[in-house]
Amino acid sequence: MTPQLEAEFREYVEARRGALLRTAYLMCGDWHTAEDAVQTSLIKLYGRWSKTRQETADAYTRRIIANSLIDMSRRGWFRRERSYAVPPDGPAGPSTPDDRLTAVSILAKLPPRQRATLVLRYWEDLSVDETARILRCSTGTVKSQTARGLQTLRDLYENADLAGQGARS
Amino acid sequence: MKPDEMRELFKDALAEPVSVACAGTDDIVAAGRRRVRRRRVAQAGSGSLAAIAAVALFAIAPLVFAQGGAADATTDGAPDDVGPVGPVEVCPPPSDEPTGWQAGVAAAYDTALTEYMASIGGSVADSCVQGEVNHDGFHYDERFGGYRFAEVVVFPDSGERVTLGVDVHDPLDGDVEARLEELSRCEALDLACGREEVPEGSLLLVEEQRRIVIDDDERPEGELVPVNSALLALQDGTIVHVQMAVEYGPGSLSTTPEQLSSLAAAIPVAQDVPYIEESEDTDRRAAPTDDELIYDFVEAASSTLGGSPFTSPDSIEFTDTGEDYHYGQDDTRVAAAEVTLNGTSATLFLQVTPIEAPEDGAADGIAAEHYAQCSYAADCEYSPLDESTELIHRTVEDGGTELTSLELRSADGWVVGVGLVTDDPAAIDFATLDAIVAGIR
Repeated sequence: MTPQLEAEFREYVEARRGALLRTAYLMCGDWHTAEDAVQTSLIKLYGRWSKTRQETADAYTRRIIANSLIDMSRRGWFRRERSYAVPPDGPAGPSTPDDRLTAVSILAKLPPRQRATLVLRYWEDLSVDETARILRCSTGTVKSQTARGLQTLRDLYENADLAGQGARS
Repeated sequence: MKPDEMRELFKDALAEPVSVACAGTDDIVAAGRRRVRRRRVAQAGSGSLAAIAAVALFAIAPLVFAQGGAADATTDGAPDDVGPVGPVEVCPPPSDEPTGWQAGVAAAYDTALTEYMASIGGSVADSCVQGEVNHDGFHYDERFGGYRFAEVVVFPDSGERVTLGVDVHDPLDGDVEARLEELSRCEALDLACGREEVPEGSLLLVEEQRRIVIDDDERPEGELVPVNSALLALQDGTIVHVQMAVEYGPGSLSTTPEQLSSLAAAIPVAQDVPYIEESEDTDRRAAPTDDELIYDFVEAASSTLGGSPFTSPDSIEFTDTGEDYHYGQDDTRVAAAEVTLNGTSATLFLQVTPIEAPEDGAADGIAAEHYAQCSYAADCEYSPLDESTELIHRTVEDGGTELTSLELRSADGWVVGVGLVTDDPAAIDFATLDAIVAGIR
């Protein structure tokens, strides 16, 4: 990599890593895991920087972050995909006034792919097409994941006291 | 829930201060350079990369920077107020020392497992999940409530590699059947399960396919990996849960669930075991430091090759081998350097691997094949140098030539090798590489 390209890469890292970290955190609910995913994406981006236009770098890093976080949730030795079919815990009492804990707990109840889809659509404001490219799935899948995710959240918000049940998915 | 409410939810979730130490830009650039350099070295010399790139289950996230040391957070979510932190070990050792009793139990379990695997042709390889603690065999996990084991096992005769997990759950009150179902999820997932009563207790055998992502670039949807399990509920309420999967994804397991049940029964649960005093003998800190190894490497290579062959001798440093499994086992590290030989540019590298059980076992051909990853090589030749040292000449060919001379030094607890990646096969020979390796002590 030429010094000029490396300088541009450094500028990109310093300008974008904060936003990428926040996006990653919303997808996984854990700052350490989010930081690891951001590091992974930026290290991989370094190797492709000479072939990557700055305007597409965000899409590339988001793709690495989203897919690594989704994959990480599936890779555990004793985890299974179908375990996501287990319904969330039922309501446990009156809602808490702590909005942050409630928000974190509710997000933790979402399956990783639904959660990533919602983050990309409504936090990053990406289109269905852009989200599908990042998650490497069809636009139909993005739409169905979005609908399911919103429905799940709606149900959780209406019924459950979720504060303090853990943030990590 | 509407999109606007969704955004409010995200904002609420981000109201928590950032509580993580972030790597600096310099660290990311340095890690990026190392990654590029590793890939270049590997691409120049290996014909096995297609297989190697199918990342193992045991390589998860490149946690190249420290997770700890969380600094005070900023309220706006920006990580920049936190200073950079340095690299950490790929698989750090456990921070807590086991008690003498726990060490004794773990050692007894390790011995039983190793002996049983040997009886069916398997050998436990040193491995770890990148970024996670390397326990190196059984260990007691208080939060889990029992002893745990997770390693790679190789079958040298067939070349098969599997991941093996053994959990020994402490006895609990309550319904054993419910615990077995909770662990196996036979009914919930409608798996192929078989029950029988055996002299040791109740046995449950499970065969299933799990979807696991092995190569997130090529097969992001994951692949179906066969997994066999045996759960043995002993009379005292202890449950021994053995699980085995093909390491690199689809394929078949030669080890049957019945053999796994024999392994479960072989674990000496609730038997008298010796109390193990902490010993300095197993401490590997006596091994040479990185700086010493690289100094010896540069000195030996310069002396053997003559002149100053290295382009930048001061910038040589070790990196983990990442996905480049053809060099050695998971904890093999490589220090690569550009050299000029006969007017031609090439890459000379030093590789080191700690031996799993120093001073335990001979430096025989099976161990040499294991540590040199000869299954990935075009050719390996073995010759004993003395009772505890085996010399290996490894050749990897595809689009270039990579010759490596390695010494398996059983008594010292290390495998040390020097190799050259070049387009010119006449640039170097094994005798020259042997001389360089011999100069590294």
